[in-house]
Amino acid sequence: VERSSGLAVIPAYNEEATLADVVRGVQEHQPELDILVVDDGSTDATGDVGRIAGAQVMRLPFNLGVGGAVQAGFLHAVERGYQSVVQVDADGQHDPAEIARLREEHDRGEAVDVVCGSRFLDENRRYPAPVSRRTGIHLFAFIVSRIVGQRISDPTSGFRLYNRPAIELLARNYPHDYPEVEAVLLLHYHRLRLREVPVRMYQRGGGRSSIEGSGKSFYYLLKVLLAIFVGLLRARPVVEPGDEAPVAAAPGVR
Amino acid sequence: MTGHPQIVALVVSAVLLVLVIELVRRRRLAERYALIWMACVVAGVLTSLWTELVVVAIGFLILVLLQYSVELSRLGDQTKVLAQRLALLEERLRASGVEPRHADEQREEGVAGHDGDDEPGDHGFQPASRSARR
Repeated sequence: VERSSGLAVIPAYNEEATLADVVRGVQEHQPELDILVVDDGSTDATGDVGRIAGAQVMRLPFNLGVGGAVQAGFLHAVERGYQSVVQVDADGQHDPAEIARLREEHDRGEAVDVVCGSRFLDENRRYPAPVSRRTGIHLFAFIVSRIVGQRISDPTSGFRLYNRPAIELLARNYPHDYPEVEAVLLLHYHRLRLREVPVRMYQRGGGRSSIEGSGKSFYYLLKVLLAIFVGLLRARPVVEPGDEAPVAAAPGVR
Repeated sequence: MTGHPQIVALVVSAVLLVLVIELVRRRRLAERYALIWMACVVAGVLTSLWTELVVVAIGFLILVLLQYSVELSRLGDQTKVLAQRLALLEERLRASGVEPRHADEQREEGVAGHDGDDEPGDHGFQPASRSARR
């Protein structure tokens, strides 16, 4: 079977309202990409919606959270030999037309392993979100930029393109509950190069955000801050290829 | 009895000891946790003899709870890996034309009362063609 070398991974938890449009958008704008929906233990028709729209659907037996779902997508990509993964949210926040921007940046010839869509790079556009959320993102951006020594304007963005070395790393080791910020640091510690490109992000089309509600966003803020600073205290934050892997980094099915 | 905290502590320790042994006997409690709880019994007895030790006992209990959080973290990681592997395997089965059939679906069918077509040796998977007819 002839396979395309790129995979679009769409983690989806109860996103039946918006998933079909996202899948169709990717098919329309990136027809050569294979599409994998990771149904993260949804209780609605998310899996069926994805399958009917023409995507492959991998269903987790229960809800793992976006980190575990995306990692399952990385494991699939590693096993099937995909050379790149584009992660797109199922809620319609990301515009499939802009996957092209990520790919252009990656294919420009300069050495870059991860291209990240940022909603803050274009000064002319404003991201429609409450002040509290934007403040949180900017706080992470400030801290993460200090640590990696490079301006990272949107470390919470889940709209990303990964190349093969990045996929292999993250399939072994991917942060838990709210993974995006930590993943930026993980990539940095492994000397993988990250670049941002400006993208639009829309308000969610349906479903519910995984970090909705002020109590939950405060927990999110504290949890990620803790992860960042404990990560700094580790002599070697993550395993290197060839090391004995911890449980969380066990390889996938052979 | 309120005037004799030592006696209360001794009684509680004795009850705890019996409970722990009984749980191990019924295989409801693994030996390694039973050892921790027996150490708690010893701590309880010591506390009843020297009441100043109550702070030490509380500290010990906090350590036990922390140990449980460590175990829970490990179990959570292992569960995550299992869930991912299961999803990968099911995706593979589906790709090769076998439709995974979930236990909860089977239960629902059973309740609905039309689950009589199960063949012997049905291991929860069936050819895609069959499930497509459902």
